Amino acid sequence: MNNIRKQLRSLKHIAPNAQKKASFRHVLEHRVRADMHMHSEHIVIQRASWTAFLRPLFHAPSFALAIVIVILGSGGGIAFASQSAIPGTTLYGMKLKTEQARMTLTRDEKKKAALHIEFASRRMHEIEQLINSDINDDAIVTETVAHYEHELSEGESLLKKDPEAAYSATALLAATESHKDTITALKKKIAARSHGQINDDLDDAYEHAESHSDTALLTALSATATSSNATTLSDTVIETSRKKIRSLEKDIQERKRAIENARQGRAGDNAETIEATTKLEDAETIIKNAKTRLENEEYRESIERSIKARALMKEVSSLEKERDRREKQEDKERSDEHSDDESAQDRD
Amino acid sequence: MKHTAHTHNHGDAFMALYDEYSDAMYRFMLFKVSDRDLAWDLTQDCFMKTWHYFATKEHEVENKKAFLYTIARNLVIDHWRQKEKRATIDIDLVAHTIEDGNDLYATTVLQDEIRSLMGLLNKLPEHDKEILVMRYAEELSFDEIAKTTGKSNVAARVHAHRALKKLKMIAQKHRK
Repeated sequence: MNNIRKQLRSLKHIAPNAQKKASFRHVLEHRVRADMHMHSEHIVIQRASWTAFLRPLFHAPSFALAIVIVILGSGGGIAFASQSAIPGTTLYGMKLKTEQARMTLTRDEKKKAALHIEFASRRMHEIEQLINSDINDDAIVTETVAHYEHELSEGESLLKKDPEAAYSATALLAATESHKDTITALKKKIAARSHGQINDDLDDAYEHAESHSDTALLTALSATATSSNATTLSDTVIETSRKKIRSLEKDIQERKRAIENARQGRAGDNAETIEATTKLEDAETIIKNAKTRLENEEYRESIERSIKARALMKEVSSLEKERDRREKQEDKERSDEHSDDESAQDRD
Repeated sequence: MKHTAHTHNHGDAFMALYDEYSDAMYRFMLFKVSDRDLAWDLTQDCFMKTWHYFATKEHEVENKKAFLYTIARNLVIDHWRQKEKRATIDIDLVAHTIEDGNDLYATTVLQDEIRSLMGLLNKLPEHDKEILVMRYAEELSFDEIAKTTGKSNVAARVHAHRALKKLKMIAQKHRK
């Protein structure tokens, strides 16, 4: 028995590839630091001292001054308390106004980009709070998702102006990847609650996060050439690309199974199913190619292929929705015909 | 991302957790899925999910090691559910995945030893193999195994003992 135990202990010598382990450590550490950074920003805002509002006053243009004066005039305590307000509450408007003031008072474009990313994370946190609180007002979630998408777009447009924006690119990448995880968890949570509108909103938010994450990834890749932190950046690009490829592979397999089930459930093939199957096969080929490119260290080509495969998956999703819509319509028509027949029989 | 007062302190502690347990998590995944890349992908998912949990939940996780194994187990179950079939362990693949730093002779001996052990382990049911790896290869305490598998401490202890006995019997038969 002891010999067997000793043999079992020898399994401890099995280990992952040291380089992969170190690369992922960089990525993980970056993600942890980014989350901690977001956390400290949140704490700073929640515990905002008056100096935080007053400091920029001395450099502020008159419009921003006016906003700050309005905020101070309307009660600094309220402005302070509003920082943890969620959409739909009385203080939420004040929260957005203080954010607007901070943005106006910030002149540096890199800092502005960081603020947009921070505000996007705040919106995501609010969406999470709204859904976790079981609210029934879908419109509020829709509006917050719109605000979230706006902040991401603004952050990205500033990023595009600065080709060496390594820090902003990795911050946007870390934020959007984290948002995607949050959205996936939220979607699982609401699956049982059949919130059609919120589900659509979350899909939309996910798509935005993914698209901005792609841009951030490509920007980070460009920045590896000039950045002093090239190794970490390159590790982040590789690992995120791998993650995206893996998620697409998973998605393709799930969709394939769903289409197969749909084929079995409904009589024969239909136009949407056939087209969706062709597109899925194309996406599968492209993603295999993206994987090979990544292994060959052709990162840009790999990322571009992932983006292309994702676009095809989006088309598959539209085809599935179209099929569902048509089938519902057919069911309705059949049911209407049936009721008409029954009414006619009653009359006879 | 929900922000908690613990987040800041968790950062360094979490990275230390990665340094300490990434090899163990990889082994656990490799024994389950028998594919190096997939095992590493699942290991990464495991740490990402664990960090997400630590950063968003208010309460402290008592036994982080057991928590990691629980997440790892759930990830493998999700993976199996999607694949709808389980992979049998590729003995050669596992035997060749040993850490750097051994000389050629030692590496060959170790590979042979692991290859022969994996051959025996493959003859056991999945749950027996799992408990033996957790208890004797990774040296988890019975409390940690109990937390990971949802059994009681006593049940985990009895299960490990029986599995070891079974493995010993298979080894004896194999020698004959």
